[in-house]
Amino acid sequence: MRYEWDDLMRDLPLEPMAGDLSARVSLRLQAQRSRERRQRILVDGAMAGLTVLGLAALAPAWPGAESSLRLGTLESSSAWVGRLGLSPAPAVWGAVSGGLAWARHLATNVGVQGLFGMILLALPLFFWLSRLMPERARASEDESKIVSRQAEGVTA
Amino acid sequence: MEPGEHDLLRRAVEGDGPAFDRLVLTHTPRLYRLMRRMASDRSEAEALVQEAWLRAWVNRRRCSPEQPFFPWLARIATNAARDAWRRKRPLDFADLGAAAEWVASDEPAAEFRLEEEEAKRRLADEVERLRPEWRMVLALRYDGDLTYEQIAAALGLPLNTVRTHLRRAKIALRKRLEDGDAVRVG
Repeated sequence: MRYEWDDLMRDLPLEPMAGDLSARVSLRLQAQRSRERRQRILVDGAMAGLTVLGLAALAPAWPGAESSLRLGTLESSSAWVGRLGLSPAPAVWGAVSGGLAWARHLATNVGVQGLFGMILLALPLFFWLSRLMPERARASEDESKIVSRQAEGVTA
Repeated sequence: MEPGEHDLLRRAVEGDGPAFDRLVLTHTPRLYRLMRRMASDRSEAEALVQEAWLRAWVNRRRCSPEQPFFPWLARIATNAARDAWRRKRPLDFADLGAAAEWVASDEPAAEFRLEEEEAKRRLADEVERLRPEWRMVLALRYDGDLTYEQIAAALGLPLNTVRTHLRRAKIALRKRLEDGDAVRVG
């Protein structure tokens, strides 16, 4: 008797699936989700702790830092942009040297403890911002690439 | 894609656990069939199915709801199987190139007769004895129902290598069935 290859291959006998396999998979996934939630709570707690420590370290130096952290006015910014258009090199050099002077001024006013506090505050800030990235920006950034690869069954 | 699966997939990708569990219910039988054909026994297949779903959950944001879900899942499952086998012994997925030319001829096998069910049973046994990489390609093609392009993407192989693996597997099966006085396949 002659058989068609594709028909035979598509209909080969196989040990049946255990009836509870899907349920076991779901249970493992639930355990995984609980683990992820616990990790997230732990990390958030640690970051909140860093924020509190950072604020505590920065608080005594805040009066000195306040003047250094005051933002420039809109007029000064537009004047700088105007200078950048006219003669870029001196404008950039002025901004760099101004930045260095500002950093020295800040270090003198807030002291080591204040700088330490700022670093402690920066860590959770960047962490929380980066957590937003994969779900928002990074997802859309990679989306076209992923879609085209997934069309062929790729990714992960 | 089934009607409503797009919405389900979108919610699953966003981290909706119950939506993901619905995908598990829908796709596990097909995934099991694929993995059982690749794996050496049922417990290994079940372990691979669970591992694949776990990886799919962890990497869910890489899945696009606009595309069919199963090829993506098959890719993950195939990688899980390869990782498991790599721990046991290395697999050769290299491009066979010119070395595979000897299998290019599709000569008809000798005529043998056998009842259809017996033929399928024997064929299934022989598939289980094939090299893992051939078994993988056969499973993706016939149990996973993927296209050649999807298989190539899932295994990270050139399309021609997929064709070659399939051809070699087919020839090996024919030869074994002939040797065993079995069945003619066309």
